[in-house]
Amino acid sequence: MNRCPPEERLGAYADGELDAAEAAAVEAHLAACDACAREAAAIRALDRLVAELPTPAVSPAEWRSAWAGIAARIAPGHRVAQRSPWRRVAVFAAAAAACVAIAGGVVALRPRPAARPAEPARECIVEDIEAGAGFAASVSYSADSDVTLITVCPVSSSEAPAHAPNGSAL
Amino acid sequence: MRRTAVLSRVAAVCFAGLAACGPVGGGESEPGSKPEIELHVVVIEATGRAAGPEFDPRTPRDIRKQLEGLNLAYAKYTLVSDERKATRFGTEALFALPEKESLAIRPSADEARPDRVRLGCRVLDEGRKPILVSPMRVSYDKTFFLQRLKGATGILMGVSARKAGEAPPKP
Repeated sequence: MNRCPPEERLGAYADGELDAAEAAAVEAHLAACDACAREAAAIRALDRLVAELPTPAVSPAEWRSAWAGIAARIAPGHRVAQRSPWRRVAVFAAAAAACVAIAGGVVALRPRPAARPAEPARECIVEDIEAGAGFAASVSYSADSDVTLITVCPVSSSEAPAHAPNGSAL
Repeated sequence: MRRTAVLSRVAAVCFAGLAACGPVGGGESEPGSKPEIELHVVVIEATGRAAGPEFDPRTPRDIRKQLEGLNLAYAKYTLVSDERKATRFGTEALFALPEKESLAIRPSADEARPDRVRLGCRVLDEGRKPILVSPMRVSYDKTFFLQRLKGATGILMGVSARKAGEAPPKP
């Protein structure tokens, strides 16, 4: 391998994801290329740092609550579990913040051979929902229009299921 | 002694004047202070049920496109208001909704991501009692919708924020 491998391949090599032949080719290149050897070493160092991060103890109930929020963002038209009034999902917010922090750290620490144009962030994150007494609230996301919808309706309302995105119930 | 009394009186007058100015930070913005953010709220009343919706021709094009993508199955969408309010971080801005309800939005900076803003949204009934409270983190110029269901009618609120003085993004 004469040409420098792309960063993704170096990452896959450092993570042990290449087959034997590919790994041998990368290894041979690293022996001859100081720049790539340094980058591979930096990737391994970063992997070690991430592996050493403490893992917070999260209960099954907290995981379920976090997943409801994630599902609302990735599954268009998917039925979203209705949240009971006044229930906070601080754990979801904390988990999201931790993900952002770790991802930010990875982006900041990982050496990049060439600058890439930053893509514009078009995000909408619901940190929490509280419905007033007698109301229920839910979050839906539509990939068709890339829009987040938060609906609140009276708990006794029989019309609520008819007006959810893509006809699904909220 | 006389000087002390005069100074005390001056201090008391100054303190009373400050108190009369109202709450600091979180209250109304100071007159003349430069706005930091512009909030845009489009209120639409959605009624009936039909496969092919009829939109008020005054509805902003981007809002209409997003509503069509939501596929809410209403028959008719009528524009109630399209309002922009310039305000400052930490100051709540009120937007009127039908039947004396209101939408209160308190923007604050997202220190971790300068391209995003935090919006504390509250839908309040006519007695200012909260029907919905939802803190959001959203990219500037990104619209999200709040929907207040009232029987067969939906009050849809398209909410977005822009840094004050910045031009709208290119489509």
